[in-house]
Amino acid sequence: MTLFLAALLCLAGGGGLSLVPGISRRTESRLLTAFALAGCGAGLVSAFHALGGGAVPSMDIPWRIPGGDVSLVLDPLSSLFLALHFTVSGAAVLFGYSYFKSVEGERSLKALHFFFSTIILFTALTFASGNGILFLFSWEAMALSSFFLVGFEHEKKSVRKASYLYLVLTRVGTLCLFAVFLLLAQAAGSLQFSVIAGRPEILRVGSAVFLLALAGFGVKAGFMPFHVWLPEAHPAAPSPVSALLSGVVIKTGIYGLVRVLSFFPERPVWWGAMLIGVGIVSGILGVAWALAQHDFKRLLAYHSVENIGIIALGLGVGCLGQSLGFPAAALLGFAGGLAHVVNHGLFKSLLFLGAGSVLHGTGTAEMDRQGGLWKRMPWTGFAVVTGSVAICGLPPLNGFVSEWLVYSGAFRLILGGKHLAAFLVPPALALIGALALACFTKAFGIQFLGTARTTSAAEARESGPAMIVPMMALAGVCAFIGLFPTTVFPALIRAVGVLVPSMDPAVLRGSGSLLGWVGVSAWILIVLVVLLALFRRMLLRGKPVALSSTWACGFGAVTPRIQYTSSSFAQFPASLFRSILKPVVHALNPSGYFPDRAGFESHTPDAVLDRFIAEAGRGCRTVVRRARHLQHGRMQLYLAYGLLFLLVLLIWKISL
Amino acid sequence: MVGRLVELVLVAVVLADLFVLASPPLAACIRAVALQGMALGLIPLLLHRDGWSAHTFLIAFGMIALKGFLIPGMLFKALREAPLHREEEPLVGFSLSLILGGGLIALAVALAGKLPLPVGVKGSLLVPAALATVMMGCLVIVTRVKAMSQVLGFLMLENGILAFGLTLSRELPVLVETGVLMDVFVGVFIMAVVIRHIQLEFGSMNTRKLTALKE
Repeated sequence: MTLFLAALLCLAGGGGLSLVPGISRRTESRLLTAFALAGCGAGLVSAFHALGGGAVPSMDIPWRIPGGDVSLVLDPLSSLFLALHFTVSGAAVLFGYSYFKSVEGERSLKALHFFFSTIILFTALTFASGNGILFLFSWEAMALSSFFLVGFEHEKKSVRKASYLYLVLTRVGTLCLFAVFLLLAQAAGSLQFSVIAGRPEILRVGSAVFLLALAGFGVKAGFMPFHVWLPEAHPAAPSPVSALLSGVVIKTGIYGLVRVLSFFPERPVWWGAMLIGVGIVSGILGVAWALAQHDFKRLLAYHSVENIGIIALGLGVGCLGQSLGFPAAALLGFAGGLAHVVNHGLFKSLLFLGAGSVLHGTGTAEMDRQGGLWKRMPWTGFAVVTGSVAICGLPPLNGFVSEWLVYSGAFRLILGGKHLAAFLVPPALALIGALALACFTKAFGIQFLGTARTTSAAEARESGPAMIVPMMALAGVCAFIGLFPTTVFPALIRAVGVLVPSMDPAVLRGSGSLLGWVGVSAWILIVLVVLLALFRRMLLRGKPVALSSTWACGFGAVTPRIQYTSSSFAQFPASLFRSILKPVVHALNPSGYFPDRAGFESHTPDAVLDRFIAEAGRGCRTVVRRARHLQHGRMQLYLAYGLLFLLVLLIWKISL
Repeated sequence: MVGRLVELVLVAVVLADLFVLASPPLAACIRAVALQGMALGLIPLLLHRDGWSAHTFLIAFGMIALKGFLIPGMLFKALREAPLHREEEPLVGFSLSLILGGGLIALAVALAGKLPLPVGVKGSLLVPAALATVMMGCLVIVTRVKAMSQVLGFLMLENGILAFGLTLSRELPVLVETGVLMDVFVGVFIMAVVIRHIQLEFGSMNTRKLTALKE
């Protein structure tokens, strides 16, 4: 616990330093990086310590706010999220050190430094808090910090719009959360998590709490109808910030949901079914929208929606398994969901850092302006390909491990044959995986393979070591989890133990050893690939190998523009979802035998945001406009409202 | 005997409220509120006649000096710089305010009868007078448009709160008293400055013009 507090202090110190005037920009960012890295390091050690299975460290200081209490608990569930948080934050801070050096001019970075520290600090506090008021407090502080970070380049109109959208949605989410905690506190008589957890009384308000939590936390996590802020805010934010947002901040929504679920000693069957439904919708539609994007960061943002869907599928399988009495399925489902939280946090931040590196090297995140970057930026290319393989859920990386856990939980449920929802999980996961593969083949292929489409891509420069090292570290962790899944499994089961305290992990003995085989098969795959490469080299030995241009259908004047574009590559899979995606296409088709002008342009706006939410907002406004005449600007009448209210209250209270 | 005197003073306090409600000239209103403050300053002396101490005197004279002379003096100074010395076109007319004031007094008496109060003050006029003063102060704030009238309403409100405080404990802790006095002083001070600025900026101290600040 002391280490954790030291970590928080370090982060606060780093943030405080940025408020001191008179420090040069360079010294300031050096100091901030040092402080934040020290904080993340200390936090990581404390999180691993708690994950290792020791006693649960906790701390309790009375607070003057009614119902509040500064109570910090590092149980395995919190520690799992904290471990992810500190890893990703450390990488993002280090990456940001040289990324922000290139921010044009002598623009002050004080706001950025300050809010970067506070977001790490308060996200850690959110994960560690054991009291409802403290949780909401740090939740809000985190949301505000991320609002300011998203709005860093506030001179652009699109950035202002994105950060405003984020602010509005996060307020709506918090409103639901207030209701969640008030209901829980009313039923359990306290806001201490330790008191609420396991109380049978809270089942009375269970359904309302579950639905409100699903909406409130769903806004932050990005479940499908509430995901609209993700594709706006992620591209608007600077890349290290997007890495942090997508890697950790949206996971606070999952954490909150899991924490609230863990309070309930038993859960109705429909909760699990509903989570699975939400997961399927978010997963499939998320990846469908991702396919249609041309901006790499926007594409990654939609993939966050997809992966949040996979996490929801895991949690849904877990809930369903527990309610229907399949302990092994419950443990596997929850373990899969939580493992995917960690894995997605790792590979998505890796991909966002990769996107940042590309943006840094070429000056744009537009995929159709890149091409052939693999030769110019080999390290970044390696990082992006690692992240892509991981996010598609392919062996030998970590994405496969968590999806395998969800699959095996779902299959156990299906073998029990009790609930229809379970039958939908494997096909949905398979569809998501296949579409993700198509999408990342496109994202990687268009940017890194082929030849450069623009001069900026042709003159791209590889980023410096301070940007490469964090990417390699994240890639290393992804590979480690993929290759040695059994080493992280016990920690995972400990975290799941918070959700299902009564269950015996012995039911998983079979699956544990099977997981060992997953690791072994990953090794076998690597060895196979290496052997094939050696075989190829052996065959080619002693034979002449020459470079020549690609087969061009007999057409000699090949220009870089005659390549697949991001929309043409994804045309077929995206066309399957055309009725939902509603892409906007401006096509000028060539006509006649000697056509002169032709053009094609398409973009896919977010249908939920543009159609549903905009319409709903218009409806709200017409209703609210009627109440507008109450706000006339006359101070006297404003006072009168207040006084009348007080007087009525007084009379009512006395006459009772 | 003591009770009679206190009640006489309290009647004066309520009459001052009614006077402010009914009369347009601002200078007369300031004087009425000053008298009200001085009357309230007398109450501690009258309530604790059996054991006067230096402390009681200090409080009484402090209140009389502040509420009777210092604050009214500042208000007169602010008034001198303003061109208009009458309350014009209030949101609720003077006679109607007077009737409303009567209604509020009745309400105050009715409420005071039901409030859970210590036995000693149950029958006295102190609580209804205090409540009535608070409510009439609020009425003035709400119905008048001159910033000066609003300061007066604010002062009446504070006087009412002070009178209410006198009922609750026989000897107010000195900290609370100074706190209340400081509040009033600072409040009036700020309002005097604000009035001056409104006057300079808009050429009027009609708060209705503040509507122009709305988006």
